[in-house]
Amino acid sequence: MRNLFLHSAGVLLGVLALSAPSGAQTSPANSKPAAQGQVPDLSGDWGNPVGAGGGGFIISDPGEKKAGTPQDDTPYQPWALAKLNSERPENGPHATFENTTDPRLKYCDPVGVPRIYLIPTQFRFVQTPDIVYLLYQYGPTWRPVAMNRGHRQDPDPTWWGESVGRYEGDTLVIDTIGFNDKTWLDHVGRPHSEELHLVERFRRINHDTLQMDLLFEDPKTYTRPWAGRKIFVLQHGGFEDAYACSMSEYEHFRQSVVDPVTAPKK
Amino acid sequence: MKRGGFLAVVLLFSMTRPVMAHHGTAGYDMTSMTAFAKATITEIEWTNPHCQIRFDVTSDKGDLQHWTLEAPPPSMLAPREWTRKSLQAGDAVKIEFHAAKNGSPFGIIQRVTFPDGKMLRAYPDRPDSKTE
Repeated sequence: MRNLFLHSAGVLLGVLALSAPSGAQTSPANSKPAAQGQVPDLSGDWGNPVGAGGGGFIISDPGEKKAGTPQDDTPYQPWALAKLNSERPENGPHATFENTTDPRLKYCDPVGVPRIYLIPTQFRFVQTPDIVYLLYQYGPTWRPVAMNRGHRQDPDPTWWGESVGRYEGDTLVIDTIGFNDKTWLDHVGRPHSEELHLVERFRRINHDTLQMDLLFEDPKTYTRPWAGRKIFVLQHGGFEDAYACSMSEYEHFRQSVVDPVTAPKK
Repeated sequence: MKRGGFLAVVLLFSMTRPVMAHHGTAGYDMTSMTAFAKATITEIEWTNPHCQIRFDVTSDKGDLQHWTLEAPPPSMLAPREWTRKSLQAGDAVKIEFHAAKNGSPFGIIQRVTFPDGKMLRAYPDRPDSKTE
């Protein structure tokens, strides 16, 4: 997977370097040219492949297992690496169950994108001419993507940012800015600033498989753009079972399971 | 891993993929699996971020032990043919799980098997698992 990622990340960066973040209509080399008015069919409920675990997390190379270690080649700005290593996540090389700083676990804060794709739940596209809606089982929540228009001038920061989209052949491209800086990019605490510019590219590579390529641009936090990829597979059932983040239920779980499991060995 | 000298079966895995949970699995021994051939379910909590399964087992010495297992949330269990009533208080089942590293009577469930042989998996089985 790592090799796949490295290869794909390089290809992706190369491809995306040729296209302006918003407005450009350059088609990826392996995409079918879009006929006028043609819309790729992204219907279905998408989730993690069986056996990949809920996270199945390959958002950056080398992924979450080495986040913040010397083997992590994510291009952090110094402050960002320091912030990552100051976090107390429940995943990754510095996983701890005590006094987490994870805003999702501590407050049930909105997880934002792209972290929501790392939660073992499903999502669905509702494609209309003007807006593509992403419906997420986690939350449950939804997110509008305004099609075929540019961003507003300097949108105010929000949890989910402002998303605009377009089709490039068989690929849905979602361009998002206007994030606040309160979310983590992943489960290990990779940070971002309000300058984050995220490009998601969704392509149905076969009937049952959806590929999501990501490009992160956040010069305040990362020294260069970096990329990620995640594969989803068509799900069969379960989307309607909402996953609600409830602070009261989480606190109950923490007290009845997490605390005794993480207590020092007697 | 043999717990209390009774009813424990150990399955060893080569660790290639951790089971993903709402939180990490650092508190559990994901390299081995513990099983109780006869566990009596006492309570199910059908909640987020994880369902909880409580059961009792009786040791060879007659001691009653109370166990709690975390399980996936309802939204993950439902597609795997679980319902809130799949396990009910009083059910006697075989239950397999990864136990807490600290020796406390907690774990993260893998699967349960009913007396008629029906099995419910809470997480997908690993293709590289083997029975010792």
